[in-house]
Amino acid sequence: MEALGITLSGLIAYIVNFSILVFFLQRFLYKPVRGMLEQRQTRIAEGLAAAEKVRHEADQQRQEFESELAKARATSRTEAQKIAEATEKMRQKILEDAKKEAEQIKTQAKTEATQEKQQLGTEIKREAAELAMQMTRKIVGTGLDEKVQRKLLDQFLANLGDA
Amino acid sequence: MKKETILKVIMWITIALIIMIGGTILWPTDRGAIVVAAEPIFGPLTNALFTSFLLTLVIMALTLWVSNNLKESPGHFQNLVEVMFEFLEGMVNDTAPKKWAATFFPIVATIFIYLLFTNWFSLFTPMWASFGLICSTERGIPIEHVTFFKGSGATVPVCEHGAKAEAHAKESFPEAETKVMVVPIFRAPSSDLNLTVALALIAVVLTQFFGIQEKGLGYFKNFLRFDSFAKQGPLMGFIDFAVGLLEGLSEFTKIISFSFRLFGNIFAGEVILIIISSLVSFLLVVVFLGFEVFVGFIQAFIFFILTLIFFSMATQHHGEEQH
Repeated sequence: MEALGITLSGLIAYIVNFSILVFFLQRFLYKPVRGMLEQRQTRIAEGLAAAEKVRHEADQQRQEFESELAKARATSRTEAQKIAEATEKMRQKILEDAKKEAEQIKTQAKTEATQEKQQLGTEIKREAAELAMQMTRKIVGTGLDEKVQRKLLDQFLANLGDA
Repeated sequence: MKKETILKVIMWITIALIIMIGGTILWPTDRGAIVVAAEPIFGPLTNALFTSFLLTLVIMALTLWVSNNLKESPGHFQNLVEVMFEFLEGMVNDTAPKKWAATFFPIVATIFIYLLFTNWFSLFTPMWASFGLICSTERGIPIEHVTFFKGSGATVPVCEHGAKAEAHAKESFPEAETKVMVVPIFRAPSSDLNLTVALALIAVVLTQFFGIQEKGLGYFKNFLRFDSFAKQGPLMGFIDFAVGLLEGLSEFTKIISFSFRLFGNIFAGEVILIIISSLVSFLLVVVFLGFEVFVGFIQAFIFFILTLIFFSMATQHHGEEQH
């Protein structure tokens, strides 16, 4: 043992030295470092949780925004549709009114024309009869009695009416 | 890694090597003898113990510096400390029973840190070993090779463990041819058997202590096995009893294996460094320095992990009753 240099005092000195180091390191290295690491771990976990929360909130807000936007879009679409329908109706009505009016004007014009034609026709007939009477009177003289005269006139008018 | 960082690291390594190698060249190691036992320098204080105290102070100073500068966002050094801390703690938590991890950690982690410093101190041996006190002896270096910082060749004391040599020297050698041996002031503590045996004792004694704390007197059932006589007959019972005794014996041999493994590795490393640096130019010494860096780390780690495993084995319930 002596040749190897092992002595009791040496052993005790080293054991004491080591024990002091153990307590010193435990107090001033392991504890603070572990505390710091744990603190950092919790901080990181908190940070991550906060970030997750913020992300979640942002997600929610986005969804809300989107649904509102969709709603607004739908509303505006129905509105536009309504307006388009109303316009269409109005157009139709105006068109119909115009058609009706045109029709009315047409029929009125027609009737007026027919009436005028009829009037004109009767007038011409009358004048033609008058002329015929006068001509007959001149040719035949005045001897013709009233009864024959009427008969001839009627015959003439009937022929004229056919023409 | 950034290019700048790599350059910085290379620069520091180069500076360290220049210091080490420059020391080797400027103060060549003319050691007369390689001594297994740590040499006393001031009374009972040996150079290894002295170095151990110094290194302890260095570790404490570093510790205080680190713990006073702990930051949320760590710098380079704090990062290193944290990586080491988490590595050791992870190892302890994986190996030890949950209940005991917190108790084991400071002891085994301190073993690792302390041994890392003391082992790596042996890298400086080629330089530090040539600083020291001298004493005259019959087989040493010629006194002309010694540069005196204090005192002179006329006042060289006689080496203590060379009482016979002294008588011999007085008769045969005139004053001018006095041969001296340098007793270095610094010596890597892990190359002192006192340290390695002390640590081994701590490891083994604490192993028994933790075992008894965990299992009570039942802990000794592992060494004194009588149960098998009744269960498996006299032959198996006897074998099991002998195995138990061997287990008990192995607790004592652990002290020897622990201490001599560390001592042998570090001491041999020192001897290699001394011999190589006195034989060849520095390039080859660099190779051995690198090798010793590796050995120093590995030996510290082995001591750490073995202590941890023995602690864990003593406190774990293997279910001995079941087989």
